[in-house]
Amino acid sequence: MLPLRFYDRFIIGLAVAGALSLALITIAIIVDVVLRNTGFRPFQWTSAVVEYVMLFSTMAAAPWLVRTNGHVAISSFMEMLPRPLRQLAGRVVVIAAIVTLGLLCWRSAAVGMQMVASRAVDMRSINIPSWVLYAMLSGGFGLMALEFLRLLLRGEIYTGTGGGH
Amino acid sequence: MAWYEAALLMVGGLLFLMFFGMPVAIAFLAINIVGVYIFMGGMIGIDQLVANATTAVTSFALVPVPLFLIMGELLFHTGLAIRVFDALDKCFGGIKGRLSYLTVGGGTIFATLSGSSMANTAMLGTTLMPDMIKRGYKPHMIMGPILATGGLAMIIPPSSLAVLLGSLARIDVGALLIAGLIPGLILALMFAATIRLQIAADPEAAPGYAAERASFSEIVRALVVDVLPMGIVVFAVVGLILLGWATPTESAAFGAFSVVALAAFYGKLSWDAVVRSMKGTLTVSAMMLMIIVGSTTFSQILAFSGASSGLIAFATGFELNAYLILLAMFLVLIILGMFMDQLSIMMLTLPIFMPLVGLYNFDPIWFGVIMLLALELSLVTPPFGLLLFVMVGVSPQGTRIGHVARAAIPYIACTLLLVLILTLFPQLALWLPGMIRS
Repeated sequence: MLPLRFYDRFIIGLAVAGALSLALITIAIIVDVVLRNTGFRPFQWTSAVVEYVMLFSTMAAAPWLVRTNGHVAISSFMEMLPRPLRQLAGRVVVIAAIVTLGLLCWRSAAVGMQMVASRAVDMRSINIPSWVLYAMLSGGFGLMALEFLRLLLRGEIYTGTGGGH
Repeated sequence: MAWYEAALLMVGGLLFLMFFGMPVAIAFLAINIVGVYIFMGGMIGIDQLVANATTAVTSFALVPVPLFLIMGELLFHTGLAIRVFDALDKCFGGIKGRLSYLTVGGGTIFATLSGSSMANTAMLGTTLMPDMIKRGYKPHMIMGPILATGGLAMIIPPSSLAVLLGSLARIDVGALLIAGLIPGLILALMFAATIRLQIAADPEAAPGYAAERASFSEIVRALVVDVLPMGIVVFAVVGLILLGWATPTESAAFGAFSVVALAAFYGKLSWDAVVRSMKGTLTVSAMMLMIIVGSTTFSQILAFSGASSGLIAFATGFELNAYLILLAMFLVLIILGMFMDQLSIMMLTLPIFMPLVGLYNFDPIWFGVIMLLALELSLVTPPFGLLLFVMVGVSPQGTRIGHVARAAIPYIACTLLLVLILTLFPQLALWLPGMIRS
C-alpha cells in the first residue's frame, strides 16, 4: 500500500536526517573553534543549533528505534514468565506506551500552539521561536506512539533486543 | 501523602514498569505523568513535564555523548583499532600469557580512544578470542581480561558515561573526565598483575609457545606507523582539555575529526564504514538521550512530593559514619546494576545521592569517579551484567553465563581494591583536575 510505504520511508528518512544532523554539528563545532582561535568571529548560531540538534536527532531516531527494538528495556524478568503470560504482559506494555506517548504528543502540541499564539521566543545564542522544540517533541512522541500501534496491530510485542547499549 | 508512600509510588512504580519490559525511557515518562498529575496539579503538571523535556537534552554539555560515540564507532568500523592491536602484538613476543596481556594493553588504549564499553568488549571478544582458543588458553584467561578491560572505557577518558554523569549530577564534566585517567591506568596495571598471578598459580592456564618473533625494526615500524598516530586522537580529546584550549564538547568534536583524518590518511575511510558508524552512533545516542528526555522530571517529583528529603532525613537519621553512608550508596549501585542499565541507575539514584554527597562533604568529582567504578562493576555483576551477555554472545557455543561470571571475579576484586585505595587516597583522582584548575 502506497501510504504505508511512504510512512516506512518517512521513519527511515527521519533517522537518516538525525544521523546527518549529528555529523553536521561535529563540523559546525570544529569550524567554530577554528574561527575563534584564528582571530575570526565565530558564527553566533552554532551553539543554539547544536543544542537543538541534540533534541532533533533524538526525536527523529526515536520512532525508528521502536521499530528496531533499539530502546533499552529489561527483558530478564519477562523471559522468566510463561509464554502466554509474557504475551499478555507485552500487549499491556505496548498499550500503556501508546497511551503515554499519545498523551504527551497531544500536550506537547497544545503547549506548542500556546507558544505560537503568545509568540514566545527561546533566547539562546540566537532567538528561536519556542514552538520549534514542542513541535519536535510532539512529532517524535506521536510517531513513537504510531510505531507501538503498528506493533499492536501486528500482534507483536516490544522486546528491546536491538539495543546497542 | 507521606514521603515513604510517595517514594514507593514513584520508585516502586518505575521498577514495576521496567520489570514488565516497558522501554526504560517510556517507563520514566509513564511514571512521571502519574507523579506530576498527583503532586504537581493535574494537567498543568503534565504541561510542566513537557516543558522540562524540551530543555532536557538541548544542552551543550551533553554534546560529547554523540561525538565520543562517533569517534569510537569510526575507530571500530574503519579498522584503525585493529591496527593498534596488531602493532602491540608484535611488541609482546613470546611472553607467557601474551594474548591476555595484549587484551589489557590494547583494551586500555582502545578505551582511551573510544567511549563505549560495549564496543570495547565486543571488539576484544571477536578479534582476540578465536586466536586464544586456538592457542589453548583456559577460558577464564580469555574472558576475564576481555570483560575487565571492556569496563575501563567507562573510566578512562573519553567516557560517554562520565559526560552523562557530570552533566546530570552538575559535576564539572571536564574535571570528571580527567579525574578518571589515573585511576583507570592503575586499574589496568592491577589487571596485568592479576594475569601474572593467575599464570603463577596455574602455569597451564596460558600456553607457552614460541610466537613469531618480530625484528626490532619491525616493532619500531609498527609502533610508529600504527600506534603513534593514535596519539593525535588522545591529544585531541584529553590533551586539549588538559591544556585548557577546548571545552570537553569542542575536544570531542576534534577527537571525531582526528579519527576521520587518520582513517582517510590510512585509506580506510570507506562510505560503508561511515554509514555503519553513524548508524551505530545514532542508535546508542538516541537511546541514551531519550532516557534523559523521559526521566528529567523524575527528580523534581521526588523533591516536590517530599520523597527526596524524607529519604535523606531517613538515611542521615541513623547518624552513621560518612564512609558507611558511602558504602551503602556503593551497594545500592551494585544491586541496581544487577538488573538495570547505567543511565537508569544514575537517573534513579542521583536525586538522593548528590544531596548526601553535599551533606557529608564528599568531593563531587571524587564521588563521580567512585560512582563510575561502581557502574563499571555493575556491568559484570551476575546475574544480569550487560557485559556478561555480550561476552556470552561472542563466545563459542556452550559457554554459560556462570563461566563468564567466574572469570570476572578476580577483576571485580581489583576494582573493589581500587575503590578502597581511592577512599584512602582521594588525591589519586583529584590531583589532575586540581592541576587544570590551578
